[in-house]
Amino acid sequence: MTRATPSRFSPNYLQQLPEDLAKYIQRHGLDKELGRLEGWASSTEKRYTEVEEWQIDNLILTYWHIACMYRHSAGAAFSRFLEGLKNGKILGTRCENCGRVLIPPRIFCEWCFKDVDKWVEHPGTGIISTYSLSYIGTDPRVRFEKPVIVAVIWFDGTVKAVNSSRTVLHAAGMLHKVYGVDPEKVHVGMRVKPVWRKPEERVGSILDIEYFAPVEGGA
Amino acid sequence: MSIESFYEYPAGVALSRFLEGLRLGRLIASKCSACNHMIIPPRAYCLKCYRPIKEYQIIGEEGRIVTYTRSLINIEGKPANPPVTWVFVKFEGVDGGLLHVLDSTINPQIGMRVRPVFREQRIGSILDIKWFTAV
Amino acid sequence: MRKRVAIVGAGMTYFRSMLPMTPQEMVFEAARKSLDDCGLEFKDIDAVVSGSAPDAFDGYHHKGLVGVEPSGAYGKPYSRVFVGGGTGVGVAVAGWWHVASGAFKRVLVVAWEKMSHPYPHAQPLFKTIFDPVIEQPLGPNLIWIFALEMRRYMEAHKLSKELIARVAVKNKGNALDHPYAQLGAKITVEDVLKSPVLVWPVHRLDISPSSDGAVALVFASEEEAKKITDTPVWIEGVGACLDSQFWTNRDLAYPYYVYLAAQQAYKMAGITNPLKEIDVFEPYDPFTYKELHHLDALLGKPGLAPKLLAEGQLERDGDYPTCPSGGLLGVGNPIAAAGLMKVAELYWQLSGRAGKRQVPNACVGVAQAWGDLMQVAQVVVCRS
Repeated sequence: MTRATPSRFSPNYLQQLPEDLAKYIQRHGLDKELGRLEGWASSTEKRYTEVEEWQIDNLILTYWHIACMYRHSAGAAFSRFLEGLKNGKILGTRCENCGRVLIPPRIFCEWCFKDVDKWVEHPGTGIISTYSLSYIGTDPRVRFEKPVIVAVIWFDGTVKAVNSSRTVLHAAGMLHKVYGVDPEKVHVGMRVKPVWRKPEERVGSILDIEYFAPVEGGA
Repeated sequence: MSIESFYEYPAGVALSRFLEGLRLGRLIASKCSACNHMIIPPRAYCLKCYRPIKEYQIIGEEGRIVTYTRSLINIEGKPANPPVTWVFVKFEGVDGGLLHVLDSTINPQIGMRVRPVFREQRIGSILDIKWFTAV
Repeated sequence: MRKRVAIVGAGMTYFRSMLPMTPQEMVFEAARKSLDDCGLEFKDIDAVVSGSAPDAFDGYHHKGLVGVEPSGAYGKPYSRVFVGGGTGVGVAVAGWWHVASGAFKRVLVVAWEKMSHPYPHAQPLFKTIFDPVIEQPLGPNLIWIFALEMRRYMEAHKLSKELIARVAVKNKGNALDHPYAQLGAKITVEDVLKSPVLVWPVHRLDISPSSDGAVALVFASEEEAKKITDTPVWIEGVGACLDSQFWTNRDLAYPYYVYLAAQQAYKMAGITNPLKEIDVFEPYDPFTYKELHHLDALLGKPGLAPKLLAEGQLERDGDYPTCPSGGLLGVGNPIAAAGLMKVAELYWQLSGRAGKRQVPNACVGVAQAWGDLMQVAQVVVCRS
């Protein structure tokens, strides 16, 4: 099997590309990037197919770029929830049929298939149901020296457990970050409470809660 | 929220040959050694008898316009100046065909005989063909 | 009246991090091999069911259509099935509906993935799975959900990372015998624990590699199957179940939805005691702990899988061979293709064609895939 040489970027190539794609390539220095080309080259070096006729002598690469902006409507339940956060309150709904407190709130109960219109306020204290220590960003190439503690917080008084096993059937809960504790010391079951941004800084976002912090004296 | 992503596509077995052909100023079709079916853009497998393709052939560059449209707006929905004429061109004895842009000075007609105009600097891209023009 | 459905042929491409072929060419290679395997031609196929991951991984709209031409679906019913990470087994479940309903006699089931298209990595596209209103602002990474689920699972059964790492050792070792595998290797528990931490408790070697690949199977009705082959493998039960998207309200320690999907499939197959009656297990293993987490649910006994692992029972020569193929950790994880690879492995194991990977006297097997925000379960039970 002959080794295929993947095509490389050339100034000519950039001239032919649509403007936004050419700009993207230059902005990210991809025209100088060789790692991927070597990757493609080594993939053609190895046996890549069992179809005998399919020899690639000169692998040609092409490029494409998409950028989309989205504006999401928060909907009936989340709009009220975000409005609550702006006012420093964690709001949920309660299903009058099964009694569950629903945080994140919804205006229907997916267990009972009933409308839910009773709103409740929760102080936001709870326990860490599970956590992880993220050493990478959304872009996995970004590495943090000190990890970010990410946790699911279950709110006090909302946990429905099954007696026969350790499995929890339902809990009002939220994904957020935890600060104010050594990553080595954070644990499942740790008691936490929300730390709010200053009222004038709140905008109606999940980030109006800056983070969750350990409750003093809590285990 | 935004999503921005960049993609890199290897042209694969058949289209790498096609693009390499364009770089050299030629149109390449695939030809099935079993049933002689020819198609452009080329495939790595025969669409008639589903066997892998071994042969690729240079075809004559003269084709005919099968259908066309004039786009008065660009990809962002703004007025295109000048308007762009898109043509679908078929070639004698070859299945399939090519979608491309027509020479802006030509008034398109269905059945019109056209040929590709290659750019001087070619890199192995569909844009190595500048546009199709009347024969 | 439900028709019996058999798998009569299978084929796959190599799983590699960067396959130079186009998705169309990969689909053709897998489909051609699966038909050659059972001596059929494309014209013999009545309908095609296909599966592939989100369009965002390829960057063009409705990428399912690329499967039409190379699978010979011209002028035939063709559909693309999508149930997130569960797609690979979901596509087999959907293929089963086609034949079991009596509507089609011979169906080609194909799944493919080309994860090397997005540059530099598919990872930033994965984050779009999180809720845009209340989760995305936190800047999540897909590995978060695995790390959170893994930590909860470890807490529930007091599991050590050392034990869980043995899944990677086992599966990468098993993959050494798989001719199409990307990452077969002899590694140690220490290698896993010393690999870089990405999102603790998840290390790099806890994760299956992103990959390109395609897999195809041929399904046939009972009458047809008997004409086509002497060694059909019967799909005796299928199950599918989804849980709520409000995942912070659930206990991540036990995938109850996987249990429910498995129970549907067992009921259909007449299996009452999976531990005794099933010879080969192919649970979904994109991450090390996931194999145990899913096996718990397939066995209906939370916490049992880690015990069996510790006793060495999940090895290919153990009492409960699990991922004898090498799984996603060893063979590779081209998402939809990886799930269907597990069903293909059941076909090879139960028809006695698994070569060096063969589990002796394997008659009954289960394959399962999982996906989305920890909520999708797809299960297939086969018998020779």
